[in-house]
Amino acid sequence: MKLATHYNKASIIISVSVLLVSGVIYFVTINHIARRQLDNDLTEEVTEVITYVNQNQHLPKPVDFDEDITSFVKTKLNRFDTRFFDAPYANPKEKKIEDGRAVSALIKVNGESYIVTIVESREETEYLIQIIFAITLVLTAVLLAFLIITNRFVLDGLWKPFYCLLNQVKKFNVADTHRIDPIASEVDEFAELSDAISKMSSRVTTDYQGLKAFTENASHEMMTPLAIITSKLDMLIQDEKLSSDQFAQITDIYSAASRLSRLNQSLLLLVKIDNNLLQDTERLNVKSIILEKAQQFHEIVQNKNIELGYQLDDLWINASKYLVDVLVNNLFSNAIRHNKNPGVIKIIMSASKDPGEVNKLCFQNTGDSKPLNRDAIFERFYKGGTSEGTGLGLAIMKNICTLYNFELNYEYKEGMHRFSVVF
Amino acid sequence: MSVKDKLMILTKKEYEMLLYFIANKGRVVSKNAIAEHLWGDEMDMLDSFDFIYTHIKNLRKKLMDLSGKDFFATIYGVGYKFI
Repeated sequence: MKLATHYNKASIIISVSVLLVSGVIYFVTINHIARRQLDNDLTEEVTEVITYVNQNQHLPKPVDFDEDITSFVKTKLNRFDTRFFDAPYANPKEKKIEDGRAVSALIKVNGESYIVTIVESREETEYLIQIIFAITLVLTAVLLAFLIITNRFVLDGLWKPFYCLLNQVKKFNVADTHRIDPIASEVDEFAELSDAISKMSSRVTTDYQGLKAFTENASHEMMTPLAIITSKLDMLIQDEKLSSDQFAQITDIYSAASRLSRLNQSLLLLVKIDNNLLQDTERLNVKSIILEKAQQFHEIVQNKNIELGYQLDDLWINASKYLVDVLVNNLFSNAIRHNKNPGVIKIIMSASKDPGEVNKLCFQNTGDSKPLNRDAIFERFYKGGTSEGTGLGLAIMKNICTLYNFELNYEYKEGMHRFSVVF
Repeated sequence: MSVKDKLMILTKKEYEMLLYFIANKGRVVSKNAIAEHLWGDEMDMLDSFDFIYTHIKNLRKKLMDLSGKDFFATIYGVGYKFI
């Protein structure tokens, strides 16, 4: 949920709560004031009755009380506290029962005690309260609507620089030379944030470019000494006087140098992919590349007692022949290297026939009976327990797929490790 | 490929191996170097160098059948020399 929505939500909840509580307090207060007003009126009525009785020595007629309903009841009580209470009011004009307010008081006429009860209608007061309540409700609704609209527009405007910055951060790719531009904002915090992110992106990009240049230079520089080591070793073994122990040691050095050379070439390839230096894009038939590779690996597959099966549709893509070759090669060598003896490799390639379908190449192989760590396998130098590879094969595959917007996935299903490329 | 005007049929690997030996004629070539030349990055997938031995054996036989000469000298513990 967006911050503005959170703020709106909190603001509305608080506003509604405050308005409801204040509305209740307002209603109770108005009601109390109206009731007191009615009680005052009734007290005045009672005073008028007492004044009338004192002047005329008899009870007034009910018609003297306008619309109030007055009754006199003779009593033997000498003392009676005046009391106010709610009572039904029978409206003589409209012939209906309404809510009313009444007062009972003791009056004395010619030495006899009467309890006078005057009932006054509360209809008008209640109507007034209802009107006030309705006006309050309408005002509350208008206030809320105004609050929501204001929050929406004002907050949207306020947060616009932030979202603009966020979009840039989302699109930011350390491998690109494009940096995050600072955004002008009237809000100091956002201006400061934008400035900090812009500077950070510049620093990160520069550092990354420096690191890439270093890797590329280091790999290039290592190639010459490696070639010298290999050629010198080659010259050494030409000496037929060497003992078998000496030759074994030379062979070990040769193997290590070869391994280092392959590692170096893989690192260089990664740098080239990262820098998009292999731009020899052409139209390729992936099926023929797979079949060619299957032929190349035929000997090793047979030697390891691997049953190789494939089901391939014709699929044409636009990419660098060299990189697709590396991709397919790595898929093959991965499936062979981590297989068991005897084992199975299945290669399935399906070309999309409907718009909803995708072009997909899937290499499935038997191997360890537990899945690989999906989050780590595409990291550079990640190696499974007994892997003898450089640890760069899957990272190279991932980078090639990223370069061409292919999707590379891994899953372990039904006892098979599956690497799939969605083109 | 033909030897003394007689056709010699080789597999792709045998052909590549023969070319490599011809390019390094008179030089000792280690099994490691042959494996790297033929299988490149995948050479570490080879459990042993038995492949090389099998290819050399076949190549030696095919050449001997046509020329009557053994072109491969085995340098014990080291590799082979094309002479």
